[in-house]
Amino acid sequence: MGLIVNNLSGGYAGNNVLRDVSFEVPNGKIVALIGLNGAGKSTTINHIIGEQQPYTGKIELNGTDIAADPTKFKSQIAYIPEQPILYEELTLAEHLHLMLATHGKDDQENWDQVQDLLKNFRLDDKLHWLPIHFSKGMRQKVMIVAAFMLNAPLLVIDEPFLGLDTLAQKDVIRMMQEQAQADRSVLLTTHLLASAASYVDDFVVLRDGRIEFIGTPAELAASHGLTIETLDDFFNLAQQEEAIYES
Amino acid sequence: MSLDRLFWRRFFKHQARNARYMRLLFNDHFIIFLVILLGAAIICYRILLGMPASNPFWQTGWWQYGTLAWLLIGLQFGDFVTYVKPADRLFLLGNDRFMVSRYFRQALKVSYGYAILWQLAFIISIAPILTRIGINNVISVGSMIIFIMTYKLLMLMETREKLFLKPRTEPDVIIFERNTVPEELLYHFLYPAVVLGLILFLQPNLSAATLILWLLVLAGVWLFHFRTNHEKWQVYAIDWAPTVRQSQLHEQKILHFYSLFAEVPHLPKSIKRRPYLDWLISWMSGGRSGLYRLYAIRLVRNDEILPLIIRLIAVGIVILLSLSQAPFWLTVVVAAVVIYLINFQILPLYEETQKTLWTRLMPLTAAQRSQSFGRLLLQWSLISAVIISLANLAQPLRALGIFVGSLLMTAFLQWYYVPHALKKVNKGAR
Repeated sequence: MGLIVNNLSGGYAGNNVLRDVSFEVPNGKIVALIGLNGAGKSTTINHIIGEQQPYTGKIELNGTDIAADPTKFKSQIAYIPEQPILYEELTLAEHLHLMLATHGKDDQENWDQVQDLLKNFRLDDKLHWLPIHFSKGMRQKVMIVAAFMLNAPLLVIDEPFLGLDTLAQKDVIRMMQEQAQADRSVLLTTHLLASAASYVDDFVVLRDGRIEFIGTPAELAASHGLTIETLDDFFNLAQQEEAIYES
Repeated sequence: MSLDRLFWRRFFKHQARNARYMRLLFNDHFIIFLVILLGAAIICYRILLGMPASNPFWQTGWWQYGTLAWLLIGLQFGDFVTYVKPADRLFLLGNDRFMVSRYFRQALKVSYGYAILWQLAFIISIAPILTRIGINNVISVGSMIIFIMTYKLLMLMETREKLFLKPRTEPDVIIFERNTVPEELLYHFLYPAVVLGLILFLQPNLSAATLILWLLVLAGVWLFHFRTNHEKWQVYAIDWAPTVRQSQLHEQKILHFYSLFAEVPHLPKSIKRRPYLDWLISWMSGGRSGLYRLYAIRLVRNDEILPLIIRLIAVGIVILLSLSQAPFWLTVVVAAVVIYLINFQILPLYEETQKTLWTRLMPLTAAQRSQSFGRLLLQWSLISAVIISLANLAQPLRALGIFVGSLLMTAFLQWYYVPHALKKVNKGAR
């Protein structure tokens, strides 16, 4: 099962940004949504997390339709946005307790795992800090801990490595892989294709709000005459193609 | 674009914004409030001045201290206004010389213009009292005005001085560390207090020569201003961090003033941890959902709502105590109004919380969100009702009336007003 996006069309303020977008993120898989700026990645994610209502189409997660039961759908999602968003009045510990409580998770049962995550990201001694004292990278780590501690069936990550140091980046990759091993799905957006190729199962390429390609990293590389090592050149090619198409 | 023009463009943009906020500020209710306040002040002033100068009431030394304090408070009004933006640090980085020689020159002109208006307002408002306490000769008053104007210019120049990078080799005579409380006390209060005291109270029979001397001092300060203005652009560079901070602080002060009366968008929020109130959060949210706890924490640590509620409760108590001889029904109505106002002040917290992405992602229905907030309002209404009733316990029947009036208003709010208001917010959020 996992996430199924079917014929999704949507956008904002009457603009049709997405046109008939269909793809899947099966349980146990890591899928990367890629495309140039303005391709529709963020809009797709906004629809999946319930921030925008689709014009047409269906989004299902393990059999739950977002339109039919948005609350149940949201209870199965953990989301890490590109820009960390925290309540300025809440300490780190209060953020985590709040997240657990609103997702119906028992504090006592989950706190050991939370402690491990905090230790991993060197936040264990900052439990009583307010966000005003956090750097941007630390804020992002708080979002990561809050998302991973939920063990949600679907993890959605928008640009996972922004503002993170190398150690934290490695940790996030390892944790995403652990999520997949536990039969949960991971959907992420990234521009670092060559490095993503080592842990991603499939790439979904968006262009102008339409799906252009779905396949494994090797298939994506082969389709553009690239290798896994030179996969980052995909965006150069895409841009050149776009320029030729527009002229 | 020349930096002179940049400054004036920003100046006019800010004036347009101020005019916009003033229109919001001077709405019908505020004008009525202002007219009543002004009327009351004029009546009080007239009664005060109606007392003959021979009355022992005017003979006390407190009037002199009060006058001095009033003028010193006035002296603190009128900041150095630069309208510098954080982005200037990047885009105007290579223009330090022109910033100093042109932009800041215009800034000082405008700042001094504003400062003169403030000082005149303070002096004019105290003028009748000055004459009553015997300070009515032209020389003394003239010397006082010239000193205040001169000293204000020096204060503005000193603020500007702090925005420049100082060469490390330059010897600096430091009496106090910069920007410390002792320094502020010395230059902003103690020194002008001594000189003003000398002019107004210790030298009652000043000669015309003294006035001329003060005029010369003013001229000297102006000369010093032009000389340093000419020198600084060749020598000094701008210390951007304090320059931006100073400008932002000034901006925040103005926006905070407007926010007392009208909703100001993009006003930076101020949060206070208030660990001493953690017991209150635990007590309020004991055994309740995470969302309820979130509302409780945001309310307690918010720098605007909690002080506002406390002020409302305090004002409510004072009004109710002063109405101890008023008709019974009036007391009940006032208690109900206090409860309504408290609810009205807490309500925006709901919309603000729903706007946060983190809240929107919570797997909770709109009904669950509204219920939690409704409970928070109920709790605060009851707490407030108990406090204002207890404060009036000296008259038990009246206290009971206050409590019943508060409960009736709480019931109305809980069953009709709050659900309706929250539904409206939920609809808008969808």
